[in-house]
Amino acid sequence: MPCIEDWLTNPLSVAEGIFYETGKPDHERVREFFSSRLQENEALQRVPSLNDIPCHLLKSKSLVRFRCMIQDMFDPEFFLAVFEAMNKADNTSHLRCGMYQDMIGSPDNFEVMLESAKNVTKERQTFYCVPIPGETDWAKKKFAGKNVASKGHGIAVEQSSGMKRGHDDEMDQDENDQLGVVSDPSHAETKRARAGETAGSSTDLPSPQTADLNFPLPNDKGPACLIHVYEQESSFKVNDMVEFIGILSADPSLAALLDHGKEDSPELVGPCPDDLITPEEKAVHHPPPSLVPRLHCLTYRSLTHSNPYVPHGIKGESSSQLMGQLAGVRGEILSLLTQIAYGDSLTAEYILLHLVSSVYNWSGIMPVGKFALNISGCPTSQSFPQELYKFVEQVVPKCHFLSMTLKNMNSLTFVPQKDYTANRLKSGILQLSESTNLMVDETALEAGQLDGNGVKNVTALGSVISWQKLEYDFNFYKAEFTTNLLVLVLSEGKSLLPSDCHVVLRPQGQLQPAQMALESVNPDTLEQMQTFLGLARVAEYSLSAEMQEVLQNDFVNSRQQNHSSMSVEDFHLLLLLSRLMALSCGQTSLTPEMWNRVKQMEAERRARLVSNSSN
Amino acid sequence: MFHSLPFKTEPESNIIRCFCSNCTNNNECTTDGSCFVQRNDKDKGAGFVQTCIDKGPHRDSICNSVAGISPNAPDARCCEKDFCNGKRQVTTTMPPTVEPKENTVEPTNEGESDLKNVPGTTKPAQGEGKKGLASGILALIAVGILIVICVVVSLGYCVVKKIKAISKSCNPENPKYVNKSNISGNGKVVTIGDSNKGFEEGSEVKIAHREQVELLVELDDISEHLSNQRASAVREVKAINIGKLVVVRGIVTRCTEVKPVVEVATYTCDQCGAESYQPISSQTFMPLLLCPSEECKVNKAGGRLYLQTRGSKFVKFQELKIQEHSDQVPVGNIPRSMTVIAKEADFYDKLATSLAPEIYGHEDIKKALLLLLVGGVDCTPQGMKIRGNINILLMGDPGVAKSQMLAYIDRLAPRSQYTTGRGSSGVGLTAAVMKDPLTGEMILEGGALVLADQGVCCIDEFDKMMDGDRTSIHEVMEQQTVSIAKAGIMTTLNARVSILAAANPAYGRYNPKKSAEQNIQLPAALLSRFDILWLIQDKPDKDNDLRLAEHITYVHQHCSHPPTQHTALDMSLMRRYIAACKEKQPVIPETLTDYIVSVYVEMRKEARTNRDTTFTSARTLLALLRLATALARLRLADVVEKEDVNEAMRLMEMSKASLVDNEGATRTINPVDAIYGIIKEMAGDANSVKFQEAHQRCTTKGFTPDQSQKKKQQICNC
Repeated sequence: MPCIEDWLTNPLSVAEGIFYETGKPDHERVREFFSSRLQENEALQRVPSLNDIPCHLLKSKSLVRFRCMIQDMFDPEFFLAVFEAMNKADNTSHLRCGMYQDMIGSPDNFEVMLESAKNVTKERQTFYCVPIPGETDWAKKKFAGKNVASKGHGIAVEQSSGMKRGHDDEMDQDENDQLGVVSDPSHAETKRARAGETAGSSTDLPSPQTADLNFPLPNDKGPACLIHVYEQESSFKVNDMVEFIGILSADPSLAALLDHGKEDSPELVGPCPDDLITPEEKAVHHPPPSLVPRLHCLTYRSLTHSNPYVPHGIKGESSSQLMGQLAGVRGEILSLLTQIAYGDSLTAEYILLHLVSSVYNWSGIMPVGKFALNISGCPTSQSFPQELYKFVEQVVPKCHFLSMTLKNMNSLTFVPQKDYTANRLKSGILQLSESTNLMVDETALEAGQLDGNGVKNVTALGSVISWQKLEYDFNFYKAEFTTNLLVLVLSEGKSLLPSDCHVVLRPQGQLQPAQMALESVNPDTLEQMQTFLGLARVAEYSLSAEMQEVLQNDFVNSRQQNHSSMSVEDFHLLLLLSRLMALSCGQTSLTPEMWNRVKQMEAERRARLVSNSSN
Repeated sequence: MFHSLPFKTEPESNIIRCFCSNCTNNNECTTDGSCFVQRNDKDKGAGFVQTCIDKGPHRDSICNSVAGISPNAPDARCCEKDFCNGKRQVTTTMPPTVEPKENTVEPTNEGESDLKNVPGTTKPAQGEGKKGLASGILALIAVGILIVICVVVSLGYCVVKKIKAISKSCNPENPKYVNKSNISGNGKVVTIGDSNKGFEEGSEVKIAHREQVELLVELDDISEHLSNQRASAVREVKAINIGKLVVVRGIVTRCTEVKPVVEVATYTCDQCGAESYQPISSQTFMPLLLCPSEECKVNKAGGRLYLQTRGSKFVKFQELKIQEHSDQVPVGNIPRSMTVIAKEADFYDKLATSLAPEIYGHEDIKKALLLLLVGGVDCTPQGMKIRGNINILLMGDPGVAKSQMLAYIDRLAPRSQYTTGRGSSGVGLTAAVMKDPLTGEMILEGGALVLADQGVCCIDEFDKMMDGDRTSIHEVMEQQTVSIAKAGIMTTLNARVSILAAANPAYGRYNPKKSAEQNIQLPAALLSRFDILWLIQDKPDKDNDLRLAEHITYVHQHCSHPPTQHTALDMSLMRRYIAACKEKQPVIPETLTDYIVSVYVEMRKEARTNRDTTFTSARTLLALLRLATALARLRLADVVEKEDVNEAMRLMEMSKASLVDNEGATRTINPVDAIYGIIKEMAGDANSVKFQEAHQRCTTKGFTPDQSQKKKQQICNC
């Protein structure tokens, strides 16, 4: 029976033990073993995470985990699951296990018999995984803080906290500093840690900063990882958030092999037999392990959310309990939002509803539950979008700020595209995991000409907003991938992008910088807000039969009074809003009061729209 | 943190290890001298040598001589560190220094693929895809079909990479080497990749994966399996399928050019000049290094072997990358891709040998008959009709299987008529006016030639035909019509027919003492209408007779032809393929016209000097063009290439060569070889020959400037 240290530091020996026990490469058994070990209290936290600890500080062949998004799926690989090794000293041979390693080590005097009939070839899948795009600092920090292992290693866990979540690639860095966004006390220390990291890694990789790790968002950082999955039938999809637990393989010797292929060595004669593997492809599929470590997955957890405060795999029952305890937080968030939104409480209410929305079902091709919001009337002179974003990124686990400048629209890639030369999926900004908040600042759009790429980008964004679908470009054809992005468009007039709901901002006071608003909040409350929004998204909701009747009658009545006052779409929106309202209030079902409140809100919003257009 | 890499530990003594390209011991050797590596840039792959050289005067002389390398000398060096002489292996894949014949095509019929072609697919906009079009190894690509149904004999294999790695903590020293090899299932052939990933110094052998399945398209099996195999998706091809036959459907996303791959490598020894052969079954191989001949062994001459590209046997292959079709990709997944290697021996040869496989030998005749079946391109500039059909006269001694050949063609051709000269009158061949027994009206009844319109008319015993009857087919052979003016019926019937005639020489057997004209005894007007006149002589020749006898007895014993190098294609497949070829209308590019003109002029010149042979006229030029276009059709190409013209020339020459009494005299030597001979003669003991002189000499010997130019380039390259 291996002790805890054994399976943490030398998981391969465990896998090998199971192999000798069963006599065949049994991934199921291995997975069960590790899953059961990790069930134990805090056991998972003991496993060091690639997200927090730089790869070079981790020991190769030890157990690690990685919280990530599957960015690309490579072609399956074949490997020798079982091979026969011949002892040259006494000419005896025995079978060995080749699972979970990039390279098979054979001890002295042993020769691997590649022609042996006892060898078993199996295939494994390889995923290219990137850290969850747009993950906010606080979420990262919280995940890292949970990690027992990293503390034990005495490593600065705030590895990535020094990195500012850039509001936007266009945004001026100086402005950021003036505003004092970076108020992290551990900033200086982190910087040092990072400097050390670069120094440490610079020995074997020339320019980690310039290497294209194919992150969807341009300012994302962190390690990318090649994950080998041994499941025969796995249900992984692109853009899934998964926490993989497996054996790290960052053997520098692997790099030596790869480098070898690159150099123009004179002995290499003729075209290589695999002409089809271009240098680009080689670079993508076999990057230096110091830059992109390999992880041989033993077991994994599919993540439905990436909020560190919300327990993994939480179900409706327990979430509503927790929600009950946090009911008061709603008011706090609302007041903060009101402060930022020039004291406009109606807009603040809609933003809050937007923040808790999520696509919860697909009826046919229609996503149910999406709530793309357009706030118009944003003053161009002030930095309302940025301020709002500063707040949002403090409360949601992942978000991205997209400034719709002409340059951005024309130059950025929104849609992932298959690059056949490198045989990979070139990532685009819209390749984001589930429930990522995407804030689009349309006020930055100036007069000018959108080129072909710009038009494509706008179309793609529109398709995501209207259908939650994105057509990945596979050159010969397009393939539709469903998304679940929460898009908030801030514009001056009505947005050129579609939206589910259009709210006109009515400034009632002065713009309150988000920083000031947030400073007034104590850390505990902030944590509660983060928990609250996270829970609201996963909470369950139902509509009672009585309430359903009330709603139906309401619909029929209002149709009778004024035919044009309520269309089917309006009714849909009302139902959606009431759902979001109930969830945001910590309720699991709709009450008549809430229904009326929503109707009232809608009426006010419509009145604003009418008065706006008549002006 | 990491254990120090084993190669950094100094060896105890001065013994070093080197890669050795022909050592059996894992391709390495140990020595107290130097490691040696040599590479010849010009040949790529040829002359690649890795070895150990023991200490001593031998080492000194070699290493000193390579130290001051002249620009022309191959790149070679000595070094004194472990494994400093490069990598373990070389690849067999060579740059096409020997131009592959462009006749390779896949017999998979368009129609067949179309059945499974999913409608509404778009064309790939990729450049690489177009390359495939140009080279046209695969008909599937050549016709631009995206959904490729590859019937594949899978030779999936997993390749083993040799990777440098740290050794385990328990044994930090003395890592072991294991040579890479193939893992083949029950597959017949083994393909290997990745070898050039190579070894690093002091590496420990590790086994890693390979990211693709490489499969070998075995064309023979296509016809068998295409019909009853369900095409699976790329993602359904798993490790379990290694060594199995699978049918995969996908989109070609990338393909390489058609490249030659060595099947038999030929080496010559620099000391004794002996030739050694090495059959190669995998994609990579270790070149032989030391001469195995007795002479070298006894003398310990240490003769080194150099790979000879000219003497080696190559087959063509092409690699394709196919990607899953979009409807096979599960939601939320990325399409997968796989590499397919398409390999095919000379398809033109194969098609030709598949014609009447029971009949032994006569490859060139079979080739000519194949061209007859495919036909040239019809051309009608402003109403003037230039026929594309090819007419062939086989003339030969009795019992050389002429009639069987005719019968086979008659069976194979979709539309054909078979008659014999004695049994058919002129009217019977063309058209007869008859009185309808019922109505008493005059009616016209088509003869054999009319009935074989757009097909083949086989006429056996052509010489036994009455002269009067024979002349009646003159019109058919050139104008491709039958004109009738009889009993008030005046009409012209279409007879677009290829005539395949067989005849015996005038005296029953070919009389070598008489001239060819006397032997043939057919009017020039008729002879000139045949594109190819083939004389088959039945000359006693011990070896040949023995083989023939063996062949015939085998056929009788087993009621089937003996196994040949190529398994003969099935008749229906041949028919389908020929039909596909006929769809193509290749054109002759302007760039080739000069070449063809010069070739024709040369032929006329030859005809003047060599009066004994047949008549060379403008019709000969047309025949040449017809044969060339037929060859292009056979490749499913749209443009005639120089190779086609050369092959057409060769066939015509061969047909004529068969007329020349070849007792004692050599047959027409390949001009390239002849020029080589001339230059070698000129060179004598000297090492160099002035280019101009050689050129002049060749021209005076009657070779076309083009031929001599080409040969010289080849010689220069060596």
